[in-house]
Amino acid sequence: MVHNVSYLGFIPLLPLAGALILGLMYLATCQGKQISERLYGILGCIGPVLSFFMALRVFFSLRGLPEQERFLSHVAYTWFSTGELDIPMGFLADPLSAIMLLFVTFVGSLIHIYSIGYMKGDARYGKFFAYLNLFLGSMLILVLGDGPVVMFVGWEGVGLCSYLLIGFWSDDRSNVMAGNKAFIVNRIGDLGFVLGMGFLFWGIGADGFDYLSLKANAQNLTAPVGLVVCLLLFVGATGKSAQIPLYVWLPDAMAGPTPVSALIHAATMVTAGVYMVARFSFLYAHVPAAGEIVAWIGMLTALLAAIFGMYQDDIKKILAYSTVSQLGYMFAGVGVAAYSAGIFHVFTHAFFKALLFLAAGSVIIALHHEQNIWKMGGLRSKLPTTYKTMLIGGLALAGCPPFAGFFSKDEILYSALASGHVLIWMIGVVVAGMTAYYTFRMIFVVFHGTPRDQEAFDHAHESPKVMTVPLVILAIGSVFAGFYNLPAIFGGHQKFSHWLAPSLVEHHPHGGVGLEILAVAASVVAFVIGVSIAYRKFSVPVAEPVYKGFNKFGYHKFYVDELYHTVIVRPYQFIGKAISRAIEPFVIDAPVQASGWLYRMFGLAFKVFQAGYVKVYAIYMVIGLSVLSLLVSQSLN
Amino acid sequence: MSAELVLSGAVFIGLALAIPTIMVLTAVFGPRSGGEAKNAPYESGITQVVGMADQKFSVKFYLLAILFLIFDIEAVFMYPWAVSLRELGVFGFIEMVVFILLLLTGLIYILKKGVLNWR
Amino acid sequence: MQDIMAILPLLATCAGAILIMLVAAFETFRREGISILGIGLFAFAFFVQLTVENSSPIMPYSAIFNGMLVTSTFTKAAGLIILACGFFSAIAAQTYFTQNRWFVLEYYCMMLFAACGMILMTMAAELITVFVALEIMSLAIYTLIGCDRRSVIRSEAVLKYLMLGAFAGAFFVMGSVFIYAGAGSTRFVDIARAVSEGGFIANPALVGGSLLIMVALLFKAAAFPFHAWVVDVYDGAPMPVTGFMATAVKTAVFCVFANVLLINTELRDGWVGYLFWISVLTMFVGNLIAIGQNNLKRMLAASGIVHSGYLIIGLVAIGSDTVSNGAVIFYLAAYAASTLGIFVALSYLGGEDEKRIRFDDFNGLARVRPYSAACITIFLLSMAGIPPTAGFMGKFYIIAGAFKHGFVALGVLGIISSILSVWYYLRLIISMYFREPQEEFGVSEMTLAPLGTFALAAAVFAISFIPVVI
Repeated sequence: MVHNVSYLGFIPLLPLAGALILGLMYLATCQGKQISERLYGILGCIGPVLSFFMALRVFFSLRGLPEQERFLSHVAYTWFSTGELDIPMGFLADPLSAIMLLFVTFVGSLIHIYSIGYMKGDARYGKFFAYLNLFLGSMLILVLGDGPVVMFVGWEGVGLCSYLLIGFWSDDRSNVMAGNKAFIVNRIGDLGFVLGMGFLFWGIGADGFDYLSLKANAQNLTAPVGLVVCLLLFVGATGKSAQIPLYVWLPDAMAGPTPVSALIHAATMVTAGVYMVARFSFLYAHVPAAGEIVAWIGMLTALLAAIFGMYQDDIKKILAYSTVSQLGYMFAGVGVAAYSAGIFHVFTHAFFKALLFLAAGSVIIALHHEQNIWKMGGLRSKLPTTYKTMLIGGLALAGCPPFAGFFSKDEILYSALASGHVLIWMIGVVVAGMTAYYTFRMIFVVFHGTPRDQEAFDHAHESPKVMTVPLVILAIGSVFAGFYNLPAIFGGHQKFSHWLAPSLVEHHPHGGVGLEILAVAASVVAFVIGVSIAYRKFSVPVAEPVYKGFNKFGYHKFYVDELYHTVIVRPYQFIGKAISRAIEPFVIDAPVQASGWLYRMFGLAFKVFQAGYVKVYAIYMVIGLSVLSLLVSQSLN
Repeated sequence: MSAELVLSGAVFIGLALAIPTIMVLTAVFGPRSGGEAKNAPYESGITQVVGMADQKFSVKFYLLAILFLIFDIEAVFMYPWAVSLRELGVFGFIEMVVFILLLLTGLIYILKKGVLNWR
Repeated sequence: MQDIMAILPLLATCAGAILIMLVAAFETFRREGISILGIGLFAFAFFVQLTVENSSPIMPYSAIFNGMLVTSTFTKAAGLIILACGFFSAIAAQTYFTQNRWFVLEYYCMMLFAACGMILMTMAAELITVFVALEIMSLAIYTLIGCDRRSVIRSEAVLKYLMLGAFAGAFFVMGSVFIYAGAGSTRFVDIARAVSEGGFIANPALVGGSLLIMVALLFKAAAFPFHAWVVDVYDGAPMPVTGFMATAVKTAVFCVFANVLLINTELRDGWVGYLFWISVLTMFVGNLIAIGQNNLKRMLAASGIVHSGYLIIGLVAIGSDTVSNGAVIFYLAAYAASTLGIFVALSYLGGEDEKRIRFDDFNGLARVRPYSAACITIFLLSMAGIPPTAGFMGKFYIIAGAFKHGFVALGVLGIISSILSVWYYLRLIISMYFREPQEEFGVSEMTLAPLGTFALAAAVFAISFIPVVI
């Protein structure tokens, strides 16, 4: 039972319209008189905020429906039709997309509001808001699309916007390179997505290529094709959600303005991969082997990123690796078929990661764009609100009970344990400890101890209200979001999982109370160990450490970037150069040039016939008529 | 004798009297002009009948002639229309009114543009 | 009343023309006012055409006025294209006159009269009506070309077009006479009946008559070997008029061409063999003429010949199914948007007296006027048939239709010709983007033409989303 509601289309349309209007305004005025920043800011926030309210409306209309009828859809128009296949520009809101909608628009709106303050004084203020709106609109298309094709539109849209925004400060070449890296790595993932989509269509697409039809026909998919489809789609997800081996772009994406980082990491873009795997849970449920691979890659990514995170100097890079690590958790969750747990972690992560990034942005602005934590210190007294909110975010990220991150992470680890993936669970617990360590390493170094750069410290001051208020709101979310899916041992009813049930195909593992207690205890112990190590090492004033041995290896991120550069980029460039020097000029250019020259000579020869005399033209006509008559009369006989 | 015959007889007699009267009046009161051009073989502005072919000459006469042609054809159109007016009915009447009005706008245009002023 | 409703756009255009004529006579408005009025009247007529309810398919004829006229979705679409072309040409003209310091008040009146003739032509289902419409259109176009009476180039162009056009018109009348002799009527329905009863080949009067009519239409459509006038006349006409001729006239002519071929399948099949060769020669001769040109306007004129060739490919399959019919009109729309776009852009980039017209004059345009250069690039790519533009979709439909109906060779030759055409389209792009500017481009006064250019650039993409089935 699917209900048709026409306002669904407006949810992505509003930010997109905002992007168009802002973009035109910016283009029209970029050379002349500037429009005031206030106008840009207000116009930029209208679309996301309105979308948020409509998302609320969607959520409450879904709640008002019986559980199995919680599907709202709207077909805006037929996008294209080729032969038998009609692809409508259709939107579908079910419990899964409603949850995504809610936090994407909510966190997105807050980030927009925060940007009003953060971007103050930037020469390309209007352009920034136009891109930001476009980004959000694309993400909403991705979430709301009623089939893989519409999802792909949003998928590419966020890819494009991430490129535009990461390289936003394009005066600096390294920013542009980071944007290029994000785009190119994402393209590799997109190829996987497109191929997966193609195979999926080839398999079961003939009877409708939207989620509901695909879900109904999923059992017709043969096992090998199913495996191929699932793995290819996962390649797409590794690109967008920064998993091994395509995670390399995300830390570099820090080159963009901090609100962009927050938007990429919390609300949009990186969650797209997890969402997509959960969206195709009906496929992954048929192919356990694919899920196994997803879970392992996810957990290994979590481990690797956590190791890298322990050695970073840059406050945003620490957070970036923590995102990669948390995304690893999410994939581990969806990989062991605990889709609701994975999505729940996406949900809570959106709050505390947005909070952490925005708080980090506040610190960065206070220190005039200083990002190295070894130049900070003792900022607790100078930035009280930022400190408190960042502490809450850190606790949530580190998995301290009862903050949001604890419940969602625990849910994933418990699911892994209960479904028999003991090794994955063990790595997960270790990673949890490492997470606590690097999070508090950052907080201690930045806010505690003594100032390392006295001059910057003296000039630091708390950010304006427009920036701190979103921080406080997000902090409240980071504290309480976890209670939404309280498991039974804490007296809850797992409301979140039940809510998502109509959208997903999953079986809740039952490990018993003993396992559950074990999982919780292990997480708490890991948290305590991680924090205490960080406390011992960093609560006292320390100078920037010099890394040696394995630590140096970790500091340089296991030289993965260099490895990619040597193994992939360099040979690729070599082949390109070889072709351009040897094959291009002789095999391709020479014949092309020759035929072009010949063609041009013909053309010059033909100019003669355009003599310019009317009588000549009339004679052409008569000759033409005569020849035609001759031919026709011959055919008559 | 029917009323139509009386009416048409009156019109014909009236016309027969009016036309010579107007001609006489114009001959008496109208301006007179003479000269070489007036006596030339063509009245159409071609003053020189023999000589080179690529000389310039006035087209005013031809312009008027073409305009006359348009209104002449208007009159020609009205004959078949008048014959079948009864079958065509009100619709046919409206059609002809539209046709004449269109030509009238043309006439207005010509007048305003000063084409009929013999300069 | 139904009949009157069907020709409402025609009446609107005609009334608009007369209105402007009177306004011009009383000199109520000056240049700016009358320009806005002309643009507005085209927009109004466009919306009237849009509101005309018309759901009947192209076959069978939905005849009105006792079989004199025909209306269908095909004619409606053609009417929309023509009026849109008129609208954008009027916008181009407004800017053109701002720059060129000459103006005649009746300009927009003649444009509307020409549009009037074109719309009548698309709807004509009877040979005399076709002829009358053809002449209404042609006379208005002659006047438009020559309306700058001081210019010798314009006078030369109008003379060439007038003489050759009259020549072609004579062919048409002669053909009508033959057909009347063969079929006993000039109405398409009766001709079709005569062909199906007596056969086409068996009736020499019909064959000869249709040959002559075909020649006249091929002349207006600028197909080989009746194409020679195009380059000179397009070059000689003022820029907005060239744009109007290249798009609206072509639309009208191809619409009536399709209507004539649709009379009877036997008649169409009798001509397909010749149209095949005419199409191929038109494409290749057009290409060869185009590459030799250094003058942008002449190149565009020659490329217009090539596009006529593609359209003739579309005609050989016309009437066999809805997609083929749709393909022709789709191509016309796509071609109109991109060609007119360039002419609108040239109207304001050309400068006074169209002094900037050679390829080299556009060197480095992208640096001085990046948005205009981007728009021109879009138009050129669309004309070259590069995705995702409307031009690509148009070529795709046309060539797919040819393949579908067994004209594989024609389709392949069409693709080859399309590749050859990239030569001269890219040449301008190279000039604009990769060459150094030689002289300053003056930034003109704020006028409407840049807006029109952007709108058409958007249309080039928008049109490609229109479903082709009519």
